[in-house]
Amino acid sequence: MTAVESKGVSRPLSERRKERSREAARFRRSKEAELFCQLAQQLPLPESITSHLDKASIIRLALSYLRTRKLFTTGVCYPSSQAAESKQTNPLSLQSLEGFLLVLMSSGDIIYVTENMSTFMGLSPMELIGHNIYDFTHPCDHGDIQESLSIRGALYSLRRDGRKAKRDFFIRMKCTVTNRGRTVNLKSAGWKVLHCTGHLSATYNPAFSCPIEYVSPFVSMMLLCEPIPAPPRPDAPISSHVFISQHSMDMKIIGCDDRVISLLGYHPDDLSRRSMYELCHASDVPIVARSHKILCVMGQVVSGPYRLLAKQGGYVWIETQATVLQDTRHHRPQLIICLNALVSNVEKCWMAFSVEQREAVQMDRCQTDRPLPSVLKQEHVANSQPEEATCNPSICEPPMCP
Amino acid sequence: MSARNAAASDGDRASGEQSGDVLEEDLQGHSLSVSGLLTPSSAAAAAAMASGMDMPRKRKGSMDSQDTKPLVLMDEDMEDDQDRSEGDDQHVKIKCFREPHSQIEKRRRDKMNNLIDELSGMIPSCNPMSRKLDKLTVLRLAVQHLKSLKGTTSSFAEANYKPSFLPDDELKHLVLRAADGFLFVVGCDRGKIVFVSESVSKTLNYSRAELIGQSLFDYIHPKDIGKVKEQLSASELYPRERLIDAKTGLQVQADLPVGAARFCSGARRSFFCRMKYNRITVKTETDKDFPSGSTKKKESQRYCTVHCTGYMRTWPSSQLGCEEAEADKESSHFSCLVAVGRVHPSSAPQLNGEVKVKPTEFITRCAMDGKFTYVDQRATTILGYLPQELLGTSCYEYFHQDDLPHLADRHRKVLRTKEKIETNCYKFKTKYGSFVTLQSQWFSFINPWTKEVEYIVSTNTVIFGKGGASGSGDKSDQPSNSRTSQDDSKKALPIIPGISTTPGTMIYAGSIGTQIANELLDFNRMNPSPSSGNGSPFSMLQDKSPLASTQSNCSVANGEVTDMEIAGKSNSEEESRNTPFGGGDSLMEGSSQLDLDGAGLGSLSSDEAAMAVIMSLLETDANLVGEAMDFDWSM
Repeated sequence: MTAVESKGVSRPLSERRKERSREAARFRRSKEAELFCQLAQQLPLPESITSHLDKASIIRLALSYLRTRKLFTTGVCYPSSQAAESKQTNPLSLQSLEGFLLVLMSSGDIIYVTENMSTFMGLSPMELIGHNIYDFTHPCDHGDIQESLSIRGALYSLRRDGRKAKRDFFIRMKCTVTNRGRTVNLKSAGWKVLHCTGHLSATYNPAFSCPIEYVSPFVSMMLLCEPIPAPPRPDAPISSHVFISQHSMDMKIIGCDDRVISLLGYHPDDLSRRSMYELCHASDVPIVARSHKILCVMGQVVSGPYRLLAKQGGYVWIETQATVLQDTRHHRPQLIICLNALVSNVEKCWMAFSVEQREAVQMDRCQTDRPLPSVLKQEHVANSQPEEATCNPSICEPPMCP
Repeated sequence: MSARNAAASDGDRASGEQSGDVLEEDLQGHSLSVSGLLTPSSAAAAAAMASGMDMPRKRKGSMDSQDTKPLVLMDEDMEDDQDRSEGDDQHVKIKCFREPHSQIEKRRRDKMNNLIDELSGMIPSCNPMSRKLDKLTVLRLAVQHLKSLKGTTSSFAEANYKPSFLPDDELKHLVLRAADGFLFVVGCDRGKIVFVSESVSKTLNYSRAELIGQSLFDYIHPKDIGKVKEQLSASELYPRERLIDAKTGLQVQADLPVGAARFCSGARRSFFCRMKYNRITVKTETDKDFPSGSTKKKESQRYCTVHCTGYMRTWPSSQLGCEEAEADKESSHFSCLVAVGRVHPSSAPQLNGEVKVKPTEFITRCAMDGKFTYVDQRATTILGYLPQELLGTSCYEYFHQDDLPHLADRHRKVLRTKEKIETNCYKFKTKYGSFVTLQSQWFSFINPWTKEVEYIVSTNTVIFGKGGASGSGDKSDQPSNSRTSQDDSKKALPIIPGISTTPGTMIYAGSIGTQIANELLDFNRMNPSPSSGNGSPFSMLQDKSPLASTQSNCSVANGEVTDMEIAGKSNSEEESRNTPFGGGDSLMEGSSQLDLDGAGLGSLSSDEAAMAVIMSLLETDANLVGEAMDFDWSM
């Protein structure tokens, strides 16, 4: 009986205790929820967004906001430009870019992404900020990102003169906009190749950093990420100084735009089956090869500037945007389309660098009636300029005889 | 699979969430989706793909219904964590891959705690307190901190305050800083610069006041003016858009009425042009920022390549300042190009390519057989030859006799390795008959796609004061030189498969390269997998006959090699050493003999290998003779 009674007494006691703790927990949770709500309201985001955030996202965004501020408001105090002008032009700069800005921490956490990202990638900045870049990029590219984020080697120079370590690499990032402009779910997102240029910088700011960061600098990487326009590009008109070429996967030219005649002097037929590597300047072979490698792996690339030999001698500086076209049926790379933008005119046009150029010149001598391509003619006319005048082979310095 | 689910339930949206839809998308002719198709994708990728694939479609559908519920993508992300994990739990139940709920909850809590910890690290008022703060305190302090930040930021007070992480002004600076460029606005009709950002002083070294109101064309390379005009123009200079068919890669002419579209507000522009760089200020800075200029010609020193990206925009005239008022008298709307000019990253690779290259260096490119296919113009100042004169000839024709074995050895090596190979100093005949001492770095260029050697790139440096460029008849230092070169060949010989490099085999200098190239081809033919190069019969052969490389290599030749041949060999060796450069064209018939001797020298144990070598030699021989016939013999 006593046992039963004690049981009966203890049960309500424990239940009361439970009840009390349940009360306390509920109070704590409501308090917490209220605080989260307040925090969300303090975020510099529109009400429509803040009211829908979950707890983790609130903290994620708050963190990123603090980091962004730490990074950009502690730096140089910018001279405030004239108010009227800046008001008009501020948003313009972002729109002018053919890409978006991405700011990463050394861990790969995304601190900041500009709003215009959604137009390129379909993802909204809010989806990315605070998350890790590795979750949104192709596993094969993680090594490159890691390498770019590491301050190994760069640190010393960063510390010494505050200079930034330049970065230039390619990544594949998830993209929820298909080529046809359809938006798909993140889970079925494809990859888009981004050309990332920017720099890695380290800031030492005792005012804002917590004790841990006194020791290690706050390392951040600021990148401009530009998608590479795919061949059917409806947006920007192709300049007359761009020629289009098609290559097999080993960079042998299959076909070429007629414009190459006026730009480089070649007839498209001259070029067919010739390798791009034969045509480029010997010093630039590594640049072209590097781009070719990336192209084979990722399917798109923008080369750095390199020199392409013109038909009649000399070279032009060009930059190439290349895209691999896939055989839609077999999923195999079919050919490479290059948009080659001329950056300069034909330079050193009197000089034959390659066997082919020499042959072209000899051919030309044989059939003098053949008219020179227009660009080259221009260049010949321009010989009066000091640049070309000194380049006359007859005035070449005598060879060194040490 | 369970790991996948866990990741999804974490609300960690991206990890491994690649579903079969990617593939589906590809099938739909999304020809440009480059989902690592070309890569022998890493294990991770493959795993991701696999996990995506083995998901049944049903499940995908259910996920979609959950996820596409909110129309705006943004909202999708803002779903409550709780919701998400519950939703995933349902899937988990369906799939019977259930992970204990407590595990999932624990992970969620841990993640939350980590976030709170990080947050506390970012809030100054949390820092002084060394003890770990509880969650509520951290949150409270965070709210306080954010409030205080809001108060200090002036831009928040503005009327047209648009909430964002960064105030507009800072964003602009950030953009320009990241892009390393300057923003400019140019009127379309006259090319007048309406606006240019402050950062132009860093990139082009002009002050902003200098540029505003000026014509853009005054600052553009004369030859690029047409290009820029074309971009600015609204008129139909190029009436038809050039488009490329995505499937075939062929160019198609679009028959769209593009004229209007091109000029309408918002049309994108992207082009390169060369812009003037103001050199008047500090000279050193000029060189630092634009090193391309310092090495290129005078003219380009004043210009730097700028990549302009932007769009067309029409502004109602009222919005523009008084300064611009006269510009838009003609129309009520003022059309202009808004663009960011970025100094072309060109400076970087150019810098690497050119600054490293000293005036005493030049670059050549040879075919596999050593024939020049490309010669840098700097060679002219060093060698006296115009590129035209060198092109098509074999580099061996210019090498000093004594250096031939060494260089041939290096030539062989470079064709078989990916690394750069340094040669010793060697003498190169100039146009005037004298010799100049060069040292070269060679690497064979391998096509990334075919993995085949296309040619050899050689960076040649002039070495001064080492032996000097003596005349060809300088007998005094010849013995020592030849000794060293012989030493080299001795050292190198065991590595070389196939024919020996003894000088005696070199009959006609120009054919050496051909021979070496053929060797490689034969070698590749016999060993289809180049990776097994070390395990080839040749290397075995080489290992077996270290003695063969010594001075008395002839003596170890096995019985098949007759004494006569040995004698002939040593004779010709003597002879070729004694003859001045170019005298190597003596024994024509000796060559075949000697080559056979070279084969015999290997003391081949395996008959098959011996046969293979002899076969290859016969081939090269035939080639050699043919080659020799074609050449004019007046060296």
